[in-house]
Amino acid sequence: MSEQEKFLAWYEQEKGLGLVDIKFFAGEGSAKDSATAEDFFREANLTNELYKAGKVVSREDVF
Amino acid sequence: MTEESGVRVADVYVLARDVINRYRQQVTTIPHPIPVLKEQGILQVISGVTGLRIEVCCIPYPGHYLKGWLARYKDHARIIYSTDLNVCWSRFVICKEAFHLLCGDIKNFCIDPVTLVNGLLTSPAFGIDGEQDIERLAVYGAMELLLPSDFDAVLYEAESSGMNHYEIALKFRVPEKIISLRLSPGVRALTDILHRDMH
Repeated sequence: MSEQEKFLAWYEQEKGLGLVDIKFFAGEGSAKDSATAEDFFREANLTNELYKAGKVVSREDVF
Repeated sequence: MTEESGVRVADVYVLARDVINRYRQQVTTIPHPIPVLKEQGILQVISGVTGLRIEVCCIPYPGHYLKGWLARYKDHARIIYSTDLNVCWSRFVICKEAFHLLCGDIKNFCIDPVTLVNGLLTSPAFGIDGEQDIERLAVYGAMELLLPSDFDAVLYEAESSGMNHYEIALKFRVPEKIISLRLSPGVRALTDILHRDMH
């Protein structure tokens, strides 16, 4: 399964749970000519996996 | 400026102004840097305006391709951002994603993540020339939340006193790139007009 397919599977599942919209803030790597949708979705999938695993970092410095 | 999304740049300033006015009701003077996440910060105001519970999660991933993102559900929203972001970028990413909650409606909801991502890969998110899509409008909205008209005098004084954009960024806890955008001649002129019109 490609990273894109993996993300779309998550997206469809979440729509069933009430997801109505997603928005992304692209990083600097996305502006490079070599960047692909697979690169992008790989990071998005990673965030979903880490979130699901409870890997949320406390940032007391961000106010 | 786009009409396609149902939102124009002037609307963005009005939406941000409404948040700042509501925030002002809680404080005597708006402090700079303006609090985003603190109790009774502007995120809490946005939550009140939208009626959405907003969860903000810093996740340990590189943020190379994706600084952060928003998942909006019917009754809540989740904003995710990378641990690799410094304080200024973290605050900005949170505000930009939260701004989507303010200006988001069914007209500009994402219906196809692949098209959304392909658009981001081919279109830069900053600047005032060229296409004005909802992403770019949210950048302006976040900039306006973090640098409201209340700060204009201090901001311009900082620049005229010789502070560079990095030093000004530290003063307001806003990314240097955003300070440079805000103080660029075109954006400064536009913002001055819109700020004047709102008073």
